[in-house]
Amino acid sequence: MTAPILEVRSVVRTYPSRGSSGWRKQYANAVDGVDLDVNEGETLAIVGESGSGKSTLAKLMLRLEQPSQGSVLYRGVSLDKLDRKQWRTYRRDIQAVFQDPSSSLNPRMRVEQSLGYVARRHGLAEPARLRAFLAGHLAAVGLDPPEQYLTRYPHQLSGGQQQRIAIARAIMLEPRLIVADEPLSSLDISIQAQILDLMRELSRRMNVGFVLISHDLNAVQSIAGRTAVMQHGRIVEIGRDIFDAPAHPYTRLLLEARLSANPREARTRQGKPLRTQARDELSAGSANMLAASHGESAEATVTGKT
Amino acid sequence: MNAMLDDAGITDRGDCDPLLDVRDLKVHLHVGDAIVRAVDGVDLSVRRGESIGIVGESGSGKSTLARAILKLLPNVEFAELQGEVRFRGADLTRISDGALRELRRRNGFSMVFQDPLGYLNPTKRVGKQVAEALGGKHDGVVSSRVQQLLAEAGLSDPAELARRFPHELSGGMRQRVMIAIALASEPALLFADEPTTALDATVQLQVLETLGRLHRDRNMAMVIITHDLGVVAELCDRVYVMRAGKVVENGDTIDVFENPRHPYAAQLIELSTRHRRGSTPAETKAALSTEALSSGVAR
Amino acid sequence: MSGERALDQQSFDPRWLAGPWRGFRAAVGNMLGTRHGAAGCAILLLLVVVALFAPLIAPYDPLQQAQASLSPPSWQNLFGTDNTGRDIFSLIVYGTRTSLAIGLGAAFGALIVGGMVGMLAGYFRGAIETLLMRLAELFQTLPVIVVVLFTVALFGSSFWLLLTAVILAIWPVEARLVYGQYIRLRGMDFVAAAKIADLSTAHIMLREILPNAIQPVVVQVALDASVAILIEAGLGFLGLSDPNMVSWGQLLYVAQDYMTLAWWTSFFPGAAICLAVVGLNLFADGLNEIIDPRMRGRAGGLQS
Repeated sequence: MTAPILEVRSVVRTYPSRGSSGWRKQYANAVDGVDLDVNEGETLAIVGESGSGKSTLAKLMLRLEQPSQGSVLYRGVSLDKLDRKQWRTYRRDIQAVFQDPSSSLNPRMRVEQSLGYVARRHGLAEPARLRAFLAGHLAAVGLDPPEQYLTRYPHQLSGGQQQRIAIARAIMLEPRLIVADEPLSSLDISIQAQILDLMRELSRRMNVGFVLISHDLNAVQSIAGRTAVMQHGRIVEIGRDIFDAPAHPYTRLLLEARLSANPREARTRQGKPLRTQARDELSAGSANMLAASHGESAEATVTGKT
Repeated sequence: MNAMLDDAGITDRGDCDPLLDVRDLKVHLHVGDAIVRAVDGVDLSVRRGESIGIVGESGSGKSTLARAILKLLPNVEFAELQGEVRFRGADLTRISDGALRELRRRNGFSMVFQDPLGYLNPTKRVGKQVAEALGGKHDGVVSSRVQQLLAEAGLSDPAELARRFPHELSGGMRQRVMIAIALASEPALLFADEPTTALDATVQLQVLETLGRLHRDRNMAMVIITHDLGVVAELCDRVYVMRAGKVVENGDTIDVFENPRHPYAAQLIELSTRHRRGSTPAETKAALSTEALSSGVAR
Repeated sequence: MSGERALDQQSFDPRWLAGPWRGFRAAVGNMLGTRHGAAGCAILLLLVVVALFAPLIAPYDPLQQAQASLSPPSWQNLFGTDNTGRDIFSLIVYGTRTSLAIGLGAAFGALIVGGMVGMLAGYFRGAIETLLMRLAELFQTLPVIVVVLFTVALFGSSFWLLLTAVILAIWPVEARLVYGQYIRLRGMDFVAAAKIADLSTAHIMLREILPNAIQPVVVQVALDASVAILIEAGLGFLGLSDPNMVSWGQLLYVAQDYMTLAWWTSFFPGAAICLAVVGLNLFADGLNEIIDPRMRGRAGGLQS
C-alpha cells in the first residue's frame, strides 16, 4: 500500500490569544499552512521546539481539534465528511499515545476497566474471554505476568508501565497508525529506550505506522524514517536525511544544539566563542526589537507552550 | 557580618579546600508508615572552582540530596537527616539560621531551579527582584549593578529587560534572570537543579554555555543536578552517578564516560550516547526488557 | 468481532465493583479517624435515628394538646409545652423528620439539577455553557425569600413547594462546582484517549469524568444540606412553612410571641437547628479532611 493513510492539506489552526496590550483580541496560528502525507506503515517524526505547533498538528490528525482552514483526509476522505462506517474504521485505525502516561489513564479506573471499555466498544472479544484478551495484549507490550497488572490502578504503576498500558490500549484495536505525542519525554532514559524498542518491534511485527512527535532529536533519529521539522506552525523541512544533510538553517540550528554526550569534545570547545548566537531572545515574542537587530523576522512568533 | 560566620565555625578566608564536603549523608523520609531511604549514605566533595554533576534517574535521590545540603527540605518533621555537610569548614547541619542566611547572602552558595516561574515574583519587575537580591534599594549604584548582573547572565539589553515582568519573558530569559539573582551574592558555589530541563534545545545550549562561562570567569564552583548526561558532558569536571539513594560511581567526567566501572553507570552512558552516534538503529535489547533499572522505590 | 453493542448498556464485571465498595469502607474508616468527621457522623446518626424512630421516642402525639399550655421543662415535659399545650420535645422529635427530609432532599435535588447543568456546561462549552451558566448566575442573585413569599401567596405552602424553593436557591453552587471540575477534567489526556477510542459522549461524561469530579462535590452536598436546613428554618420562622406539618422553623414562628414569657419555646427548636447544622458542617469537614490530598499521607492513605 502506497496511498497515504492520512493527508494534511493546507491546514491552519488559529487560536485567540491576548496580545501584548492585553485588550485587543489577537489570533495566533498554532498551525500555519501545513501539508503532510503519512503513508501506511512508515514512522514519521515531527520535531520542533515548544510553540512550533507540533502538538496541535497531532490533535488535528486525531480529530481532537478541528482545522480553522484546510482539511485532514483519512484514506482520501476529509475527516468531517466520513460516514458512520468510515468514522468507525478511522477511530480504530488511528490511535494515540500521550506524553504523560499518568494522565492518559483514568486515575479512577483499574487497568482492566480502562482497556475493557475500549475492547467492548469495538467488540474485540466475547465478554467471557475479555480478561484473557486484555491479558494477551498486556503481555504483548512486555508486562509480565499480565494478570497482575489488570487489577491495578494507574497510580500503582511506574511511568514506564503506564506508558506500556497506554500502548496496549492503542494496539489492541490493531491500528494502522499511532500518533504518539512526546511519548518519551516524561520517562527516564532507560525506560525511554525500552519504549523505543517496543515501538520498533510493533512497527516490524504489525507494520503499524507511527507519527512520533518529539523535541528529542536523538530519540527521533534512532527510529524515524522521514522527519519533519516544524517552526512557527510551518514545516520548514521534511525528509529522510535531515540529520546528515540538513537543508534549512533552523534544522541546522536544532542539530547543532544537541548536547554531544562526549566530554572530551565539550572540553576542547570550552572558552571558545559560543556556538550559537543569542537565539532564545529571538524566540521570545516580546523581544521584537532584539530580533530585528539580529536580522530575524519576529512576526508570527508563537510563544509559550501549546 | 563576619561575627556571624565565626560563630558558625567558618574560619576560612577563601582557602578552605574542599569547599563543600559531605560525609555519609542520609535522608530518610517518612511516607505514611514506610521509611524511604531517599539519600542513603552519600559522600561528596566539591573543590573551589570545580564543577561537578550529580546525575540519576527519577527516584535516585539526587534532588533530595541537593535540598538536604541546601537545607531546603520541605516538611522537616517527615525527614530524618544524618551525617555531615561541611561548607567552608562549618557543619551546615548544625549551623544557626542566621549564619545560614548570611551564607546565602554573601560569598556562600546560591541556587537555580528547574522552573524559574515558581521562584520569581510575578508582580515585581525583574530589575527590582535582582536589586532585592543585592540587598539594596533601587538607587543608581544598585541599578547599574543590576544591569551588570543581567548582562553577565547573558541577557542583551539589560536596561530594557530590568523593566519587564517575569511573564513577559521567555523561559530561557527567565532562567537567566534566576542566574543573575543567584550571582548577586557573589557565591563561591552555585547549585543548579535541572537548570535547563524545561527549556528548548537551542535555548538549553545557550544557558549551559552561560553557566560554563560564569564557572570559568568567576572561578565559581558548581553543582549541577540533572538526569541528562549530555549536560554533564558539557559542563562538569567530575560526575557522581546516583541510584536508589546511593552514589554508584564517581570520578572525572571523561574517565567515567569512557570507562564506567559500575554496570548501571555504563548502561546510562550507553543509552544516552547511542542515539547520538548517528544512524545506528541499535536493536539493542540491552538487558533492558524489564524495568529493573527504574529505581527500586516502588510507588 | 462480536456485535456492536454499546458498552453503557452492558452489565459490569462484579469484580470491578469491589473497588468502590472497599474504597467506601476505607473512607468511612478514615472519617471516623478524624475528630471532626467522627463528631459529625455521631450527630448525623443521632438525627437519623430520631427521625426514623420518632413514634417510639416521642412521649406524646405532637399534635395532641392535652397538657397545660406554656408549662416549663419538667420530667413530664422535658422541653416544656407551647402555647397550645403541645409537648415541645415530641414536636422537635417529629420536626427532625421534616428538617432532615428538606435538608437531604434539597441537597440531593440541588446535586442532580446543579450537577446536570454543570456537566453539560463544562463538557460542551459554547452556547450551552453561556446559557446554562448565565441561568445559574441569575438564580444565585435571586432573593429566595422573596420568591418563596410570592409563590406561597399564590399557591399556599406545602412541603414540596418548600423543597423546590430550597433546591432553586442552592443548585447554582453545585452547578458552578461541577462545571469547574468538568472544565478541568475535559482537557485531560484520558478524556482525549476515550474520544480516540470512540467511546460515547455519555460514557465519557458519566464513566470517565464523573468519578474524578465527585469528591469536592460530595463535601458540597453535606454543606448544602446544612444550608437547606437553615433556609427551611428561616422560611418557617417567617410563617411560610406548611401549616400541616411539624418543623423546627415553624416552632420558632409560633414561639415568637412568647419569647420573653417562655424561653423554652424558642430555645429548644433553635438548639435543634444548631445541632443539625453543626453536625453537617463537621461531617463536611471530616470529608474534606480525608479527601484533601495534603491530608492523605497522615490519614493512612485513602489513596497513596
